[in-house]
Amino acid sequence: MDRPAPAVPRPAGHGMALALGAGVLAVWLGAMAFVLREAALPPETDGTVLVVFPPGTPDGRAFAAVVEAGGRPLRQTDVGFAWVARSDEPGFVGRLEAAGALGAFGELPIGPQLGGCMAVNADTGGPQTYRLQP
Amino acid sequence: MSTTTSASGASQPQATRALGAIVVCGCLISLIGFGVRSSYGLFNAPLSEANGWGRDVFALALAFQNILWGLGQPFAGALADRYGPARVLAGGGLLYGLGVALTAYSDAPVLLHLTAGVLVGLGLAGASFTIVIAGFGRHLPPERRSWAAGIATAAGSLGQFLFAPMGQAFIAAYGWQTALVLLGAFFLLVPFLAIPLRGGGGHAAGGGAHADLSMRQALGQAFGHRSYQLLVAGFFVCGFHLAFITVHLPPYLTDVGISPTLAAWALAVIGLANVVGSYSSGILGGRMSKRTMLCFIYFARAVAIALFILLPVTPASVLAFAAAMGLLWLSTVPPTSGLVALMFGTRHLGMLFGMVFLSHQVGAFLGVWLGGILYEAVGNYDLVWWMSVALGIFSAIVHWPIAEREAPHRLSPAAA
Repeated sequence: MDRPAPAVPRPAGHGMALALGAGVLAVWLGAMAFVLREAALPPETDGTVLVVFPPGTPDGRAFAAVVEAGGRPLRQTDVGFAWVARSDEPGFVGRLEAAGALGAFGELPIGPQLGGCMAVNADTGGPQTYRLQP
Repeated sequence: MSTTTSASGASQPQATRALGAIVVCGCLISLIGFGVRSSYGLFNAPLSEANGWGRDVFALALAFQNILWGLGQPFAGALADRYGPARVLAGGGLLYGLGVALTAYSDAPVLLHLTAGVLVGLGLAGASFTIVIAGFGRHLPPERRSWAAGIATAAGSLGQFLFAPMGQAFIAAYGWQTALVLLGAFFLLVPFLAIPLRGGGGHAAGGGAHADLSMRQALGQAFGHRSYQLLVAGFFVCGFHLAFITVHLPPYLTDVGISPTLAAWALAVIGLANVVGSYSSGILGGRMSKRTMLCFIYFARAVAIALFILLPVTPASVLAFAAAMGLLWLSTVPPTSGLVALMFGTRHLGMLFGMVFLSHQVGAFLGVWLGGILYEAVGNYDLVWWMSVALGIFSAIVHWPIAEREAPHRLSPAAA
């Protein structure tokens, strides 16, 4: 016999694959939300920070929230809902959160790492999907 | 015809649940093993800066890790064949996790080489998707194996996509040392996840006409079989392509004026398309000739690379190339492991697929190394790109004559 007999995986196999993928993504999203919350700066922080608003926040609303918190919007990042802002008055981060920000960070590097079976790209100066830093 | 009814006579729902547990747990092991490893590069800078080392110290540790993974894979496979995959996965996972966690406390180069290099490298050999796939070969009915190999490979691909941001978030939240310990702690799950894969060692593995051969005989039988030799030669090319592109694509894109952001998106597209490609390959491997699939995959890689370097490099061409290579990235794994199982059965699958994997790692080493030295010699990557095209065609050609059937039994067990 030159080739294996055709065998069609039952639909349950695809269902299992989808369920597994969805489950893994759900756990990952929950874990990332928790860890990013842990990485957020404390409310009393001032200085230059990276402010993250809920995705979909209009630019004008984000701008106004920074001003409302007593800060100056310095620039918008590659991600529309993340801004770099500055204030020298203590409690800046707490005021940002009160104005609607999800949190503020010192730096938030996000980028893919690609691995073959052998190679790992150890070049940390390599590309990042979003280089989010104040 | 095999069904999902187990040998122990379990009812259909029970057998289906058992099959589900085996596949899900195997996939999670694959996801953790591949994922944590892909985030290792994140620790290069903080570890080197904290200890005042040059980047060469970390690079040598990774080199040890890779070479020990490759060299250790046939031995880990042989242990899985002898004692069952669960024990090897559990032991490998603990070794891997210990290596990752202790990397955080490695304040001398030799300690880093022992932890990130030796412990992680040997742990990878024990807790890799190679052992998971060998375990699937023992526990699943033949018509489900290719699909299961595909989903395990896809899970590994997904792992590398999910763990890198998580590693970055861990570092941001807790610092790099705690981040390493946390990543190492994931491996405490592996011994539990390996439970559904327990059993299946020794003759319990079954596996056709080659089941009674000793390991040494099985190895001699395999390397005396032309189709296995061709498979080993062909998988070398897979390693070469993946390692060269992983390490050298980002700097190549920078050289030709592509922005770092787009280069990062290209890597992300490769990673995501790889999930789709691996799973699809597993499904197709159960429906069509694995040999034909491998010929197509390697030829398609050669065509994709040739078009990429012949046409002007634009954002669209970069993303199209990334999508094509992603679909073809680890899609070689299900048909390659499937051919080994088809030729020699599952009794020595771990060791024999481990040997094929070793060839892959040698190719990967050369892909990284030649990419670097030829770039330094001629100032660009053109030569290595064309070498990749030629190797793709070579691999498509060597897979063509592979006989997709059980290998002739040349040795008798009594001759041991």
